[in-house]
Amino acid sequence: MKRYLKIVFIIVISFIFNIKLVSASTNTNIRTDSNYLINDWIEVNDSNRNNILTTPAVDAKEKIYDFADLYDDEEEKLLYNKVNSYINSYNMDLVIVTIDKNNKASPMEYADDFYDYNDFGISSNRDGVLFLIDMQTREIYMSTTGTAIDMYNDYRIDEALDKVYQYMTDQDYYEGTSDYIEIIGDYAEAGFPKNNSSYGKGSFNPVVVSIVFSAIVTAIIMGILISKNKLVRKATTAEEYLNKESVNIKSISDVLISSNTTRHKIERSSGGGSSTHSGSSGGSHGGGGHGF
Amino acid sequence: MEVLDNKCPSCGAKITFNPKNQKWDCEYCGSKFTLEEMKKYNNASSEKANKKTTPKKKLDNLDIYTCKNCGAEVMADEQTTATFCVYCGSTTILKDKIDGGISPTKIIPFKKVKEDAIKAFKGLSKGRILMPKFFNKEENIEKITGVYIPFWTYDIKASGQIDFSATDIKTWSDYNYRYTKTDKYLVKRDSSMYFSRILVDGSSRFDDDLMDSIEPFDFNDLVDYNHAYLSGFLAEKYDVDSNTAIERANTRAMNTTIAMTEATVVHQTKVVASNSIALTKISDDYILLPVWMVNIKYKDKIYTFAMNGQTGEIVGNIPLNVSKTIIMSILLFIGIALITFLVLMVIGG
Repeated sequence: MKRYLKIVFIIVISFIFNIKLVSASTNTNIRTDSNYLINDWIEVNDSNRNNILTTPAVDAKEKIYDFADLYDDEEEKLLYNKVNSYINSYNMDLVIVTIDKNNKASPMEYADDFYDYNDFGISSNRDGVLFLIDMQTREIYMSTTGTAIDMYNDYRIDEALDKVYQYMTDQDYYEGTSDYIEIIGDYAEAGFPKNNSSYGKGSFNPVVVSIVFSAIVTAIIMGILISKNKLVRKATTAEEYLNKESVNIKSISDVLISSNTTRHKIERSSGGGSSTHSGSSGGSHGGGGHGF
Repeated sequence: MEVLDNKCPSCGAKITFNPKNQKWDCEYCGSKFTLEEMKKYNNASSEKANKKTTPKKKLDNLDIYTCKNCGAEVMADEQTTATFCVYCGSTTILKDKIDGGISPTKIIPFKKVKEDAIKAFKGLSKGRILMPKFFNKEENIEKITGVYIPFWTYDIKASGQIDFSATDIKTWSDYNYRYTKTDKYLVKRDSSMYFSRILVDGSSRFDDDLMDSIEPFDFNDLVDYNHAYLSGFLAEKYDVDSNTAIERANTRAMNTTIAMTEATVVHQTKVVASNSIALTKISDDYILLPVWMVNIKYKDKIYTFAMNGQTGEIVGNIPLNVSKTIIMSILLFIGIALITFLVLMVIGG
């Protein structure tokens, strides 16, 4: 009986242990040339085939992919909850990835590929954010897609990464990541940045633009036509009566009286645009990184 | 009061100046005379050849004369020096009016004939789609008349010192700051220049701005005044004296002097700080200049047009066809708005 209990105990322990192992590590599937495990919108060609095959295929529902093992189980759970609440609140996906080996050209490429070749993003725009901690290049990187490109303009990305990189330097990965999720949540709460050219382009009202533009052009054309009817103009100069040879202008002096230099601090406003680039998949991303 | 008439030396009929050949043509017998010939036959400057005529009555500002040709009564106001008899069309030059005060020293005879003026006036509709239709129709222009308008010309010397406050502003920036450097200068210039024959309208009857607008005249055609040139045209006498009219010339000369001087100051912004330019009148001249004039009534408003009788330059403010203007504005607005909208849709779509 004791022996039986012992076996049960070991099974239970190993079972729990096993489950723990499963949740602590990240399951990846193998991509092959016959099954790329990618979304339909991506066209496979010679230039991106290698990018696809070197990108881990993961379960998109897990959200936290701690390949570098920077979080303990408890932390991972807490982060998962925060990520979920972000996704539910702002309708944008959020993916946290840590790696200790970067097999791509840059953190940007890794982040973009990871996002594109797995099933991330909400709605057809694949709205969402990926946060990458790359231990090899010692860089944190944030990749944005869809609406998130407009939500997180260059300024916001820089500011968010500025605020959290110190945690990573101090090896406080959980605190840093948790703070990061909070910061980007605050931005989403505040809404789209003003003067965002990328967002502005999508939002201007073509009717208003047409009306304003047309009013200006019409005013100019009518102004020209109307001015054609006005032929009487008071003469205010006598240039045509000036005897050119008689003109004699001598310089008496040309003295610098005062010179004054002022300087103003350049305010970098929170507005401004989002710069974008295309990933190997052809998808468009915004993003930015910061060393730690 | 004296009425002068120019008569054909060969047949005695009235004779008028023809701008086309710059001669006096007799419509009656076909003879042509030059100024010398006219003078020779005691016509141009003769006083004896003409009977003395005194105005019969005075009617407000109108003097009434008897036409020597047909005996009808001709009315003329204070400033008219040459007019037509409304009955027989013969030119009447009112000699004593010319002599009252200063008589003109020079004249530019008409170069453009009535047909040129009509043609130029009709040409106004070209490229002016907002001009009311029929505004420049023939019957409106028929009344166009050649008038010698009195002008003062001034030779003015400008000299003195102008001080400018000048400023240069340079801006640059590095990563953190935007720098603005403001340099202020005091620039002094000594200027002198000479203006010859600045024109000022000497008749208060004609709008000064309108008369400015038909400038310039080519003074190479300026000849000594002779009243024979007046035959066939109306003529006016100055009623703004030289000392009043010079103000307009002085303003123009001053503006140009400042502008010329300012052009030698090589700084970004310059403001006149002090100006001690003195304008000296070297000479003035009372001259007659040829202008084709017509008044057109459109919607109870009179529009005056003038054509430079020497160069053919035509000026005047053309009325707008209001309904056409409004309709065109609306159509243009809708059209451009639609096109813009479609383009935006294509680009944005």
